[in-house]
Amino acid sequence: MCGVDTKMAQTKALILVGGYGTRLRPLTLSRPKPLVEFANKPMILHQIEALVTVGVREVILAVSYRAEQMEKEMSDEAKKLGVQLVFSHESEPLGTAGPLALAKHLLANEQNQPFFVLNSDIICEYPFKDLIAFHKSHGREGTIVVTKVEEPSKYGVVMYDEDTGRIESFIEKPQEFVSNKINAGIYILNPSVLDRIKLEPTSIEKEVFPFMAQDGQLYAFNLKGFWMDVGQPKDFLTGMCMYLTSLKTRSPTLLYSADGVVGNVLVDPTATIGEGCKIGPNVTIGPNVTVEDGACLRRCTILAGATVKSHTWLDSCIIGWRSVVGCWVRMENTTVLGEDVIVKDELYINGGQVLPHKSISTSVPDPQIIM
Amino acid sequence: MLKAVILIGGPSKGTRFRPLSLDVPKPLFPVAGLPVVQHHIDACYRLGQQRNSIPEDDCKSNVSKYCVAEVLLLGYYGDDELADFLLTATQSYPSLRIRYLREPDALGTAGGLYHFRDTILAPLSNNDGSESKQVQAFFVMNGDVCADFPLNEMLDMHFNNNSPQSQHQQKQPVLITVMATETTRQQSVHYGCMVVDKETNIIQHYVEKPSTFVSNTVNCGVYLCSPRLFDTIADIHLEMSNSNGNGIQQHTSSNKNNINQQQQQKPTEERVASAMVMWMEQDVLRRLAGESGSGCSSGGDGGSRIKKDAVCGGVALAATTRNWWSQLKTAGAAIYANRHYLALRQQRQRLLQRKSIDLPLPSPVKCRLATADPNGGYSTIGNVYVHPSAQVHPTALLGPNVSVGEGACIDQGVRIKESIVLQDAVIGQHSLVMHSIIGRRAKVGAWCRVEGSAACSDPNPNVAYAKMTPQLPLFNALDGRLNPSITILGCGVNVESEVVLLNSIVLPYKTLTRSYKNEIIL
Repeated sequence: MCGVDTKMAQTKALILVGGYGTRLRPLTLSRPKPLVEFANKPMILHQIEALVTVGVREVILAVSYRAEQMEKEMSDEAKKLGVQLVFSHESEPLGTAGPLALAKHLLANEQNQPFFVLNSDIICEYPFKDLIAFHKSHGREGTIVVTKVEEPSKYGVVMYDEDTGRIESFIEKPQEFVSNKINAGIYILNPSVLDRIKLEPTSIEKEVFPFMAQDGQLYAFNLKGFWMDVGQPKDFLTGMCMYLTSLKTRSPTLLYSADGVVGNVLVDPTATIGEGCKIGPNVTIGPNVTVEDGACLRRCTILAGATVKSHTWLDSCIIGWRSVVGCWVRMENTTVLGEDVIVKDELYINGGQVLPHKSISTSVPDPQIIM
Repeated sequence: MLKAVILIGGPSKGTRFRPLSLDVPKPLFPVAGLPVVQHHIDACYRLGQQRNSIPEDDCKSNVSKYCVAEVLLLGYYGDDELADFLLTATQSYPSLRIRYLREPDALGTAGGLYHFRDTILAPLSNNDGSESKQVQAFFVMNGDVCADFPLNEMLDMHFNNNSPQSQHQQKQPVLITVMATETTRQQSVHYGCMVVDKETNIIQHYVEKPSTFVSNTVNCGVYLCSPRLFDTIADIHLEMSNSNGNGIQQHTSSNKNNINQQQQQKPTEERVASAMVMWMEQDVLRRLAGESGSGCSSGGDGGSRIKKDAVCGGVALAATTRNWWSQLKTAGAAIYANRHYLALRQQRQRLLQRKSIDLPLPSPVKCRLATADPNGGYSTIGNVYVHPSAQVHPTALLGPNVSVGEGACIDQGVRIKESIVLQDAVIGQHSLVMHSIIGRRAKVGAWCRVEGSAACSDPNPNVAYAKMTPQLPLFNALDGRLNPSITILGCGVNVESEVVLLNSIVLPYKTLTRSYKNEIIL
């Protein structure tokens, strides 16, 4: 057992953090995407914590943008978790495979230990332990996690042998139903895979995996439980609902309960909630948030330091850091407020995406970006 | 002694006021806490009160002796529809005699007057029965006019021109004084346009809704008439019964192309059959205009079947005012009128408080109209009227320009602005209501948002003399969508919690379980 632990300690992980996170704007105009709090925790921390629990001690973050802010903010967390963060800077975007080639010197090892690769937007119950076991069991070059989705035609689907897990082919955006399993963006790969990747912008999904599948070197691991790519606001909220549901079964004590709370609600202990509010289902309230009397919040994420004033009604919103939402405001339909936005009293915002530091004083009845 | 006739029309009128006119006659729709026509009655009542209160030597006007003794509502609603109102109005204004005169048929504005000419001119006996007073003049007020009625000014102009001195100056007697207002060049063509002599105030030319610009001065639909006006109407009546319909046809066709015609013309046959349908505007004023003999050209009016050489025995004057004036044609206009009537009541109350002496209460209707209510405890902004029987939670915030009707219930944390909440309506906690009318017994759940467009047809505040836009159609001609309007919940509508309702009109007794935007919900 001790030997296994030593070997596990040498397992590394690479997280594809990537670029500007444009899909999650306006939030990512203020903070790099991995640092945006999902369920009151930076998105990337969910992944790092899960990696640490299976003994990963070194995580390589493949970044091309705002690395300094991330290094600064993550170093304390990393120390706490006893994990070493290594930043691999891309001077130009290298796609999903290129960063592996860039970090080749960090990933390759004499023991031929496999390493994890994760897309940073993925939220699920990370199955790293079972994934290693499965990967070791088939002994081939790579394993990718697959997940079942309702609308596979939006993604590339994975065709594989249900019994052995051996992947036969990938089909991009199938017009007719062929499979409902898609690439979940989580892999475990042997260092030998690095020989298949050149140091240039390359897509691992299109330019590496299909060839590995042809060679019979790629296996599929079926993910249990929920999965969501939370890289854009709509999915961020859907993912939050899934995460809170999963939290309810895994560790229900973390959820908040009080008068007027409906369903799964996560509230930071430093937040204050007024009287006569109706909170939930599926609401996350961050540190130092103030929710005044008589507010009604459903399917929302309220980020740190924000204020929601009295009698306001919010559904499917993300409220940016230190934003202030006035009294008798109604916001819905994936309205996203950037950092430090002020919404005046009595306004109606329907699907508004508001850039940081704006003050809104007229209603936005139809979805719109407010510069 | 004066009388006032208020023309209230009948059930077939006021269709543009739907769905609010579906369950209550439009003249009884409450604006600023009073039925629309009660503002007319109130103005007549206050006229008497003011004039009584002016000390004799203080009074520069020689007409201080005039006050309204009787108010006659004239229309073709069923008697039962107005019974309750007449009862409460009579109790509220004990010094006024208030009666309803029901037309046998829709007779037109002048036709109805003519039909009841004897009643209108009948002298009223004093309380002690000693001496009966003759009618010196009578007001005729269109029931859907909302205004700061300048009745004093009209009286002064009417009687000063009718005084013996002015007769000596070889002036013709005044048959009618028309309340007039200035409007913009563009908007004027939607009204009755008058060319008025600046010196004498005599109306030289009158045309109803011209297709081209005639004058900025328009008819407000409020008149002060001398009893002798009935002689003129009798002449017109005779002429119309004698004419065989040719002229009438021309007469109607002159307005045919105007879509927003104010009065629906009856088919020719019907007009001839009843032969009594006469309009103040097209028939009477048009004839009187230019009667001063001041040489104004009347030849241009080719469609006119009435010969201008007929002697009318008097002139028509225009009393032009800058007071607020509007018409209550559409439901949206109710919000606008509500705002102004509230402001007027507030002004009057302030005036009262300042004088705070032996002046009688200008309006006998008690209302809570204040910036902060000491008893209710709830907060207000600007002018707010809350019926004493309505319940408003202390955490609610009302105003500006809100009227809350009898028995209505406003729950905790509710916000209402620029709206009318009718009798027995219920607004659930934390809901917001703005630019809307909440119908009788309508129920709005918790955390709802009932919102109309901010007064889209309101006068442009940056244009002098601009009036409400009367011709705004319900639907956009380009894409067929509903034009932005106020939101209206009909009687008994039920809006479930957390629903948003934007620019929508909901017909009575609907239950809304989801949100609606820019829709009419049948």
